[in-house]
Amino acid sequence: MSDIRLNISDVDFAHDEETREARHELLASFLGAFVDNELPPETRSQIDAHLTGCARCRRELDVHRALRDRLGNEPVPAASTALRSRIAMGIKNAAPPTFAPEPSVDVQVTPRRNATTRIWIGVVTAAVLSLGALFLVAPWRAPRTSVVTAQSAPLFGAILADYRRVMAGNLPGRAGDLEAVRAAVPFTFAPLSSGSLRLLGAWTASIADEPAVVLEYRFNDRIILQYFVSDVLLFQSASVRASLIRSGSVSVTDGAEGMLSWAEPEYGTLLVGNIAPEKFAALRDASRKP
Amino acid sequence: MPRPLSTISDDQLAAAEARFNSLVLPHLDRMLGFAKRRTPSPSDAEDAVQEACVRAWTAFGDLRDDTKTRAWLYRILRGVLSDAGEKLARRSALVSMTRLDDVQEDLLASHTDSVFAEVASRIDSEQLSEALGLIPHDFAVAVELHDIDGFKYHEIADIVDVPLGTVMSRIARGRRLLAATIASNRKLWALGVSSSPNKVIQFATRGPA
Repeated sequence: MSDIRLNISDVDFAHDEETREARHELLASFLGAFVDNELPPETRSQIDAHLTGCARCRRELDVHRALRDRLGNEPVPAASTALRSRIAMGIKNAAPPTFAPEPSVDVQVTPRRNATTRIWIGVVTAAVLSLGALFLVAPWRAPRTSVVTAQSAPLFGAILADYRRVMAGNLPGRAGDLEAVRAAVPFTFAPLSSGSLRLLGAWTASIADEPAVVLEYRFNDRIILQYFVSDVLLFQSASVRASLIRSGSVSVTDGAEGMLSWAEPEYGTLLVGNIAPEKFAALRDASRKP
Repeated sequence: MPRPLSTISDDQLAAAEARFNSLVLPHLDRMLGFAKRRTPSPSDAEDAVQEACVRAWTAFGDLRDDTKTRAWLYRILRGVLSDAGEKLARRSALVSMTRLDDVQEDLLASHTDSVFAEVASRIDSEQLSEALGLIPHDFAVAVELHDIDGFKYHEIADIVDVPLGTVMSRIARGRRLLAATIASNRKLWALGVSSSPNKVIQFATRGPA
């Protein structure tokens, strides 16, 4: 959230038309940031209060939302193989980068400390070194971050492409189709059941030439899709397997779109939408709570 | 004094190249999309992206925080596009902002809340690109960086090197102008007519932003 704050104290007690208009203009200038969730809570509250009584601002809010949603669905062109080759060639022929040297360690001569101080320093140093050694050999030390991209994991690329294609048009399914969809795939699946999600639609799809299920949820003012695929498909890519072993899930961000995938006992599933993967993780965790 | 990478081993150079590829290549598609909207032809966009990648490689030592790779790349790409005269290429004629303000007022004064959302959802990519090309460059860039490329406000401030408040106002004003442009041209688009200011609608002409 950005540090954009609204100060309307000067015009809070406006009574004349001109000052009311100035207050309105000031608040209207924040509507874009309001829609984009870039305002601190107290400023959001002020705008919420204003919106209750201002139809013009509510209409402008709808305009902001409509444009943001339309622009967010703009298809992304794919860089051709030829362009990628040209870039690789350009880099080979370019001057190599320069890196700043490692910071040098200044050795300073300090006065000798008394014996008690030296003992304490020795104890602390030994403790720090022991802890460091423990971290080096402990099997539970923090894992290295694995990089999963649409390129390294074709499943993610395929689902992202399907998501963008679907979101560019009219959404195909209805929630009432859920039972028919269940019968159409060779695995059983369970929709997310978080209070902040509402199931709007269900349909079948073909991902990497295999049957898949897509569920459409409303989350606040956004639509997110959940794909269900066979676990065979999910575990196909080495980078995905590595990430699942390390952290139990796979997070991928591509521009505005976030994806979170994990494995269930009978299938693999993947959430995708204009939402950060961390929020997806929170939705998944909320859904798992009894 | 920087230490040239060429003085280190081939293995270290290869490692730097591998790290560069893993950080930069995933963003090529979106960089290409951004460049396409700011250049007269797809080949110009590809040239710009290629040049940006080469500049990024040469300056790779400046990237201190991997999590800021995408914003760093866009900043370089904007530099390349600016050198190539993107403003002159795409924005030789802009619609009058006063005229658009009037259209915007009409839009907000109407009581058909859902109409604009429906119009916006139906316009195609070409129409959207035309509309973005008709609003002032700085506003279009801010809107595109947020709404299409998914940057947060503070990242946009970093990319275009302006204060956060300026980003906020550019996005708000940019969307207003874009809405008015779309509202102005939708009847022409419905007839299959391009809205290019040079061909059909002649509002007041401005120089490059």
